[in-house]
Amino acid sequence: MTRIRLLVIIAVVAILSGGVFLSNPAESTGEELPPAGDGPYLVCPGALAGGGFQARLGVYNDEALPIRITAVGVPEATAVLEPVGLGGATFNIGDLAELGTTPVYLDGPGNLVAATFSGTPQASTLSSCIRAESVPTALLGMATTGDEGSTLQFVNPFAQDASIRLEIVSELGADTPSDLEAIRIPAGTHVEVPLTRVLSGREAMSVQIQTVSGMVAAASVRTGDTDLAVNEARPGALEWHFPLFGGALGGEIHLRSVGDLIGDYRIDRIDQTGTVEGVSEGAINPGEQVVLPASELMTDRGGLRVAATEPVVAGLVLQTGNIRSVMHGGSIGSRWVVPVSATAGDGQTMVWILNMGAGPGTVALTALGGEPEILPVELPPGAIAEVPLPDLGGGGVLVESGQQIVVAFGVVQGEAIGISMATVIG
Amino acid sequence: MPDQPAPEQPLIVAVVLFTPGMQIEETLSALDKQVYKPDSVLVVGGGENERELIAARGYVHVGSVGEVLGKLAESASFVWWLHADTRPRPDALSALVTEAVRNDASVAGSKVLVAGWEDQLHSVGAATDAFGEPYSGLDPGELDLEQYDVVREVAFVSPLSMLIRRDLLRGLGGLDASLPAQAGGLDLSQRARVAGAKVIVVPSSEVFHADACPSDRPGWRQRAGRYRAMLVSYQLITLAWVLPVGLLASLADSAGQITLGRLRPLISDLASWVWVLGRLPSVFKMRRALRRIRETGDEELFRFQVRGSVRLRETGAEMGERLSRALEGGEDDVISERAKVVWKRPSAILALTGVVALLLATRSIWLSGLPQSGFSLLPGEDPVSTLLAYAGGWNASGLGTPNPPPPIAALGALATLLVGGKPELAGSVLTVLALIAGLAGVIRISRRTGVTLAAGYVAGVVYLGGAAATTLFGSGQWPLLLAAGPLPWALDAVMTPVPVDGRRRFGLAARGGVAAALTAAAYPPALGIVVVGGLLLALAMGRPRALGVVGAISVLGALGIAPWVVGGEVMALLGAAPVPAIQPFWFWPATIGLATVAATLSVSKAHLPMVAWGGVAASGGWLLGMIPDLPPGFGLAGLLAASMGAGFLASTLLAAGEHRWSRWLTTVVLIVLVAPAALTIVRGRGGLPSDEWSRRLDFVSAISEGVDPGRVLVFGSPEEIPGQTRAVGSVAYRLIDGDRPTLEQAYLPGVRLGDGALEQAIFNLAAADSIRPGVALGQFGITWLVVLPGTTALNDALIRQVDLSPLLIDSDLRAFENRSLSARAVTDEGETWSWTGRGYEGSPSSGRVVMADNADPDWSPEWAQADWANSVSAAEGRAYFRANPTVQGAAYGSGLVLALMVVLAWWGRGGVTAK
Repeated sequence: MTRIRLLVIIAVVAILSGGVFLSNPAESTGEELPPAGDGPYLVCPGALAGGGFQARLGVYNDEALPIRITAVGVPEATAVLEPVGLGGATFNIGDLAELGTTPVYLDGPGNLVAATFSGTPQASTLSSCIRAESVPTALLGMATTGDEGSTLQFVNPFAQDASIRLEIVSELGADTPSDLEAIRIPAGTHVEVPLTRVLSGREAMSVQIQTVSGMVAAASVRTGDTDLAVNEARPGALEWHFPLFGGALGGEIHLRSVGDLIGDYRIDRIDQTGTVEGVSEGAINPGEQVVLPASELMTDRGGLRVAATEPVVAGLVLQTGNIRSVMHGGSIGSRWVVPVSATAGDGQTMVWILNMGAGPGTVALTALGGEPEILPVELPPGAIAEVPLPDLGGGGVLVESGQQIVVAFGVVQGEAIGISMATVIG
Repeated sequence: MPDQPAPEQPLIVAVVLFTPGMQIEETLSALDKQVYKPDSVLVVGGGENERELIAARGYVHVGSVGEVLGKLAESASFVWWLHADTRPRPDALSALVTEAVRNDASVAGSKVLVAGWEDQLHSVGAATDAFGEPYSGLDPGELDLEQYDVVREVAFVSPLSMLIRRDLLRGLGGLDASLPAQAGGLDLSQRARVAGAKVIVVPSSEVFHADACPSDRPGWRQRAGRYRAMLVSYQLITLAWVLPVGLLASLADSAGQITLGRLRPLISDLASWVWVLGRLPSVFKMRRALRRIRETGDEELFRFQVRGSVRLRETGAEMGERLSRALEGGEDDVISERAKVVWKRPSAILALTGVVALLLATRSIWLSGLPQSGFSLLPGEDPVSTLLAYAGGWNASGLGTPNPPPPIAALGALATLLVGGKPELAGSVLTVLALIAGLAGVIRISRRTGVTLAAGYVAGVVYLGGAAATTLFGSGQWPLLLAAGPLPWALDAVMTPVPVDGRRRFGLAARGGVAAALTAAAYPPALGIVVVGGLLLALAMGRPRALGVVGAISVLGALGIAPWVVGGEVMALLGAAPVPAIQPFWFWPATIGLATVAATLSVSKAHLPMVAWGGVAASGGWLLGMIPDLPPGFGLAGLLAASMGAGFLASTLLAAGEHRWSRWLTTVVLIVLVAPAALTIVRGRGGLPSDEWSRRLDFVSAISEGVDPGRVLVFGSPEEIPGQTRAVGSVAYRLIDGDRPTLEQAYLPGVRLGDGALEQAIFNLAAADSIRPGVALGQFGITWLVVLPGTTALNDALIRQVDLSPLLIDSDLRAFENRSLSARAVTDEGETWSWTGRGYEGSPSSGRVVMADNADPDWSPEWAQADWANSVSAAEGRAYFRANPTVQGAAYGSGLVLALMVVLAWWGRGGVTAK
């Protein structure tokens, strides 16, 4: 009997020991969920349709697949664009809705590039379509002196409400009215915030937009005597490039820090011989803006490069005579898209191409619709080519080069001009 | 013809009710000898012999009770209702009439004495409790010492000898012929009272009545009759509280009776309610008739009722008596000496705690219903559809499958049907019954090994509330809790000596088979415990003949779930949920190791087999959950076996010898084994987790406003999501059909085409591949998306989309409504069809309808595959699934086998209680 008792104890202890030494089976969890990408969509916060404005949307889809366009706040106002040729398509936003400022958003498979051209006989403006951001962004070049007026435009096309905090800076320093410090943008709507009265008499304002929840695409609309400028909010970067064409020399370079620390900035100019030379440098505090006249940085056409140790947003602001235009800087690349152009009745579309490479290069411009053929351009290092586009029916062009280039475009119409950076895609 | 009474005396019609088996002659002779002569005598029923006797005396024969009212003379004031086996004393009628007139009573009953025992009381009127249970106040065999000889009002009188005013009898529509004697008397007395009549007992009117009267036997018909009387007499406001409270009291009483070793009261209750519910239309008719003559409220009835439940009081008294006997060492001689020793230890308190603990541990289930969490889910509202799915129809869990759902779905559906289509009630009843059966079963097995009742209770407490059970049930494994009920009864069949005669042998196998089938129905892998545990038990007990019983009940158990055995997805069920770990990790091996050592070294030779079985089950079952790559279903079943093993170890510890060293060790180990049960008692949910899902998705039906709400896609951790989940990385998800996770959806079928597509859609959603994820989800019929707290993987994606609108439900739940087209079935024209539980219905059209269920060619009419889904012709306005004939046949077969087993178990029940 003692033997049996011993056997029972040994058996149970052995089984329990086995359990102690074995581990609990690990759960098979398989492949992890991927992080959310930026998403195949664009928001065009600065489209102006109605009230005398015609707004044309130019779109490029590298996969030439259909794209849905929807007016923000009017979900039933929707249409599907069928790209042609290389993947380009145009659309009259007024066919969807005419709300004055009529933000729209696009979605569909593929990589999208889009911009809007909005114009009247006396005014023209270009505005890129952008992604909504949850990181800090900034808008530059607003003013409220004399005939100048500025309005902020916040667009939330998504299904969740968004809320943001604003930090406005002017030549007076930090300048945010308390009732503009926090703004809620309900789902699927856009909110306009006029600055002209609450912040009147400011010559140069910039605003940093910090998203608290949700995502927002922002733009500013600056109105002058007749012309106007639309500027989209951009997140900060450490390097910005500008092709300074002839008319741009009369403008100003605005810098706005969106970093958390004090940073240093440095501006280099690239002249027609390809030489890079520092022309300005300094420190920039968090939330601070710096305004530099372009004429002090360059006396002739060429390129400018803004580099900073903390994220900044940099832009070119034109405010001469009736002309009002604001353009952000860009990065560098070898493939660019100019998504929209003017028709013969709207004005002349110009493309400015700056060769940032070390050697000369050939730049090919191809209409997104496939027709007509545009002659290639030879470009020495540091040189800027100014290419007038033929009437493409409002469609855009693909700009390609073997060299690193920077591309901007504009629509010139009498005393009105709209300028914008093209979008780099490679 | 009897002599005419004096003119001033009321005229009486005597009605003698004959039931086959009665001796009427003595009653008729006694009638003849009455000093107060009835005006006429009607005899109801009887054969040729009785008719001759009736005719010889000039009495009138009546065919049925229903004809009596029509034959009563208009001049008669009273009717004397008398049973044909009742022998009234000569002055019985005279006393009744005199006292009825004097007291202005409309109903008067005699004192009933047991025939053959001149002084033994049978009835002197009685009170009832609020639930109709009679309370006479008489002790069994109480003698008549004239202690009750006072005319008084009572709740009811026996219809064995009852005088009733003729006009009242007519107004009440006579006695309810469907009721047995006592219940009939109660019914008539209650109706008379609410009609304004006075009901008295007249002890000076004595009648003798055979004790074994066929019409007055106690049993389920009497109980059913009382329930019916209650339904007829009470006003609705009274019924609103009496019915639920009465049901709870019945359940509590049945639980108590089971612990006393009696299952019959529970069966009697169930049979009574089935009988009553089957005759509801006539109840309504009687209520309408009573409403016309009702004079008083139910307060008049309450005046003659005792407080509380008579049944509970009697059961409690019996339990107390038994406990007293045990404490006094009055148990049978085999264990009497041991009992004396045991009750000197703290185990006596534990035994008492066992009964109270069960009530306390399930209080939340009794009061608030089954908590909805994990696999603890209520059956759906459409049990018939679930049963059809189990019998080869379309199983709609997840994105659907032609394979039947696990048998627990059918068990839940059957229970729902049995309780009148109330899933909440079905869930609570199943849970409470399982706990009661589990406790009683383990006590029964323990007692067979020779330990005391107290030790059996301790085994039950550890089995259902120990660390293993708490961990298992606490993880939401309700199916295993249900399996825990019949499992010990299946093993008990192995412990029962195999009877010599064939009938009892069949009965034993059938009883074990039913228990095994119920175990398997609750959780199929638990059948493995019956097989392996039964084999080990037979070997440990040295009873090789029991191996045949193990084989038989295992096969019968498998036959009981034949549809799932034939067509179910075994691996899907085995992998449905991980094995919860007993915490802290060292607790189980340390406790079981110590308990085994203590028990092995201190118990007598007789208890050693149970120690061995308990030790091996407790350690081996736990080990199963530790083995990597072993399907977790085995580990879950293993944990249940471990729990049972620990229970038996605990019970044998109480039988340990009187070594000084072992007394303290066994006490400590026992406390450690029993302690986790305190948690179960404190929480009051039978060990189940807290309710998370019973109302959480109510917004779905509220917003849907009667339209088919579609499917809900829930993201969260596997522990939080109800039922089985699928996982993408660290995020778990599953589909829920409609606004409530139900039992038939608990287990997801194996991955099919649509499930793969859904996983891809979820990847795309997370990657924000589109700002319109609702379009993709809508193709799966997903109208709602719910993200549980703590799940952040989708946050970035969900703020980059335009068609999933957030709903402000509560701060603890992120819910979204899909604004894109989402329907489970859509025609070419964009018309949506609705899910009916078995198929789809909608407007007929010439095109086709695409149904968001996993593709299967047995859909009709004119099936075609649409990617991962089904497309059928919309011409008939319905889409239906052709049941799998093999599974269907298996379903009918298993139903037949189960019914046969129940009949055989009943037929051969005599031998199973042999010691």
